[in-house]
Amino acid sequence: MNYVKLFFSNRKSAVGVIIFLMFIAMAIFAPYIAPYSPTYMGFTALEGPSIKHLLGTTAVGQDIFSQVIWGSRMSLMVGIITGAIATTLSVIVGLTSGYVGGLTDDILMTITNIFLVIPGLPLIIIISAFIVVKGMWTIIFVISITGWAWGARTLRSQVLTLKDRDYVKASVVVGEKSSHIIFSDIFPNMMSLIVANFFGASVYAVLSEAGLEFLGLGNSSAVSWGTILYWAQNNQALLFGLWEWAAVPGLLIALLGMSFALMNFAVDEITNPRLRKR
Amino acid sequence: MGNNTLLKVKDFNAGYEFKTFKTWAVRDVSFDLKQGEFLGVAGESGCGKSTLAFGIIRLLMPPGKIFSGTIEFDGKDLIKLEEEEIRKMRWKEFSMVFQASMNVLNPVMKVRTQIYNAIRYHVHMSPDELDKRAKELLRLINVSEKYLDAYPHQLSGGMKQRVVIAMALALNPKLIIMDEPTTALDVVVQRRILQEIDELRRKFGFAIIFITHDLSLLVEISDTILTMYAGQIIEKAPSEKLYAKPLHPYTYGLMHAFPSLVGKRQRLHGIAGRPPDLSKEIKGCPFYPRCDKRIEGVCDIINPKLVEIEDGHMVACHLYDGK
Amino acid sequence: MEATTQGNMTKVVELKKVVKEFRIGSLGRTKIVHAINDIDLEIRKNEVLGLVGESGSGKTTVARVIVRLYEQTSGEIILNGKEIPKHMAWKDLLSYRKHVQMIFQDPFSSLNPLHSVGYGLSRPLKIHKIAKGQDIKAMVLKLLEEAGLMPPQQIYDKYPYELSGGQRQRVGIARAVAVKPQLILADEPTSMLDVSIRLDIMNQMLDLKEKEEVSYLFITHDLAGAHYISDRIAIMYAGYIVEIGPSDDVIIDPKHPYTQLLKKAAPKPESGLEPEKVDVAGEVPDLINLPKGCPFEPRCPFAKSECKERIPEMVKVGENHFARCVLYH
Repeated sequence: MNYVKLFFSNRKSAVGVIIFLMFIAMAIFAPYIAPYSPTYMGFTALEGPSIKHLLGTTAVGQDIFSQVIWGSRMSLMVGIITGAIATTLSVIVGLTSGYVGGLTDDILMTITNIFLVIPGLPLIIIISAFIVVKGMWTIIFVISITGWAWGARTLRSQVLTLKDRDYVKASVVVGEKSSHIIFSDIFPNMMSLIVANFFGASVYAVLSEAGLEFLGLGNSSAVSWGTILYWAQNNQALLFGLWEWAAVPGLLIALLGMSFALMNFAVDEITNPRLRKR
Repeated sequence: MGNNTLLKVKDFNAGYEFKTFKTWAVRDVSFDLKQGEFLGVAGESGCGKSTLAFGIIRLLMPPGKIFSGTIEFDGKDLIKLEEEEIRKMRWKEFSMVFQASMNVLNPVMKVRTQIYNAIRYHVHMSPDELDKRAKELLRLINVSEKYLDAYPHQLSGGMKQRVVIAMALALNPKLIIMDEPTTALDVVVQRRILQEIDELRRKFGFAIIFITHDLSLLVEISDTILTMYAGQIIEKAPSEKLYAKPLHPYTYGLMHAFPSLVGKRQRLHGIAGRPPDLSKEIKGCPFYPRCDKRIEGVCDIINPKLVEIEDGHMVACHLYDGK
Repeated sequence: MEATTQGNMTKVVELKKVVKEFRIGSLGRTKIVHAINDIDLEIRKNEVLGLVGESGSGKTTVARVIVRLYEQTSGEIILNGKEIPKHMAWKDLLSYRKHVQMIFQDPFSSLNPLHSVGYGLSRPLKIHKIAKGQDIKAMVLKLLEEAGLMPPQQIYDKYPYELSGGQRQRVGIARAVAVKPQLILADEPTSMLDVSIRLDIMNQMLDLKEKEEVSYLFITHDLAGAHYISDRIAIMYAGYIVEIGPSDDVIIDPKHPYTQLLKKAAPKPESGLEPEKVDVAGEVPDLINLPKGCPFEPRCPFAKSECKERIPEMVKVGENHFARCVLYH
């Protein structure tokens, strides 16, 4: 199955993939694309865009353009890793809850509902405020545990529907083990929803990370688009007319989120062979 | 049963239009329907009978489309009318009972409200009149009045279907089209509904177009039967004549595909093969590949026309050329 | 095709006083649905037993209990003379599944849409170790050929959405037959197919019966279809078996009033075109609140006062023919 061709068959997802790949390239080749080190503070501070500093410089004399290039790494990593972890949690909880049923289902759903009811961003803020060590993995951890509940609910619903399908019953009658049924009958038929979940969770993660950093609750000495926004805000960039300092990272965050959403359009066709016919 | 023609369908073509291809679901269909007549339309999945039913009363939604033809109802050509004029006629002149309609009842609305809506959308009635009419309708279908204030899930499948039929009757139409109204129901419930439909027809004199794949059922209840295959009418006859002597090999095959409850068991056969792809042009008779009486050189080249062979008995088959 | 003899009187599967109840509702407000009650049934070697009933009769539940999708609430299930315990070890359950298989009603949902036909059919062969490695594909191709799916090499790679309803159902039959079971439970296998295909599918099942010596429990609501394919017929109503006997006897001379009603209600074009008016009032009883007497009593034209008191016992009404009705006590 030619996945690459499928992702490009749909115009929307093709655009999404191209944007996403550009970001990946930006992150991987950061050392070669960025003209300077992002943390070097030797330039003239608060300069506007020029040939030497395409986006100008920060309040402490760092090159913003290099920061933006290097910052893609953190944002991408946090976004994708958190998306993956949250989705995995959702799948584990949703699948177990839906397939096993009974008391297990009741317990897991109660936990899920608790996490659902508590508003995400405030919870993230509160947890971050109490954690001392503020590295990337802390951020990943914090966002993951607030981001899995919604997916678990939706995935569980789909498992309940799928469990009732005749082909699942047929597998039971043929003699398949439960583990095989889960991985071969139920899981593949959920792929569409799981991948959509992953894209959704990743968008949520990218935005939450930016939000955390922006609020100063992240690791402000790291370089990510969120921290750039933090410093821009802190130093009243807009007041100084240095709108690129804030606008560009913000724009990139939005673009990354949009690329995930666009790629989502191709997912249905990949996971459901019948849709490819049209 | 009056002798006036109520519906005159002539050279009707309809189907579905997609970006890359078109499906001709109904091909050159022509037939007449008299007032009060019970016309059964028999055919299997993909033969175009539902498209025909929706098409006749202009209910085909895109990608469904009427390609050509005339539908004369009470002297007016329905295809030429504006949407607003058709809407005025719907439910008052003709109505429809859809396949598995019991699933179409709104689960969060009381039965009363749904009956009211069926009426109110087309005529104005005071709340008292509505109440009176609703009770009348339930009485007609032998459902207790207390169910007026119940929700659909509180009724059995058979009751729901009868409520839908009552809704179709609400404005005393001249024609009711029923698309597989009893397929999803148990045989005892089916018998009861059919008996009720028959009683109501005798009482109110409306015509019925009854669409189903169950030919044996149609033989019992219809005045006239027409069989459809690949979008075309291949045979039309009064039901006793069709049952006594099915002329078209497909009708014959279909008739003998029903095991009987009478007499000893004997081996029967179905009809091997599948219906043709309706998105392609079909050369010759569409039944040619599956016909055990086909004439090579004739049947695969020329599509037989529907002609009257005996009194009232029409068939589209080369076996009867020149009779 | 003359009526087949009962063949061997050896019983393949026997049910004794089987009951199945379902609990519905939430904590504190659970209700019990009495799906099947007091089921005594035997399916003999090389026979087709038709199980006829309307919705809510319990016929599907009987099948699902036999095929072990559910466990019975009480009663015994006996396979080849040995009782099957309610909780079986995996090894025993797997061995049981080699003897009892199922064909499902809906050809559009009984095959996993993401598995090719070849993969789906290879699973039972692998699980029950019927073939290994290269031999599996060869066996699958043979199964496809015997099921009338031609050409087998092409069908092997196809996905369910590329096949017609009739073809999918043939794949379902092939899947059930793959392990060479002694008993196949066919749950309304033709009710969702076009009329012109139904007979061919039923004929194929009959051919398989002759060839592989497999027995069927053929579940349907269509009395005529049951008559066509079955050697014996059992009629179910509200979770009880109300009549059971040789196919011709039950159809031509039905003893239980419900069977008589079913026969009258079915379309009979040949018996004259003026259909007699059938008294079809009444509804099927609520399985949660079953009456303590005969469940058919409210609709029965022959009801007596004692019918409200107790459920009648099954009594003999003819050669190998039994009915659950006081009329014959």
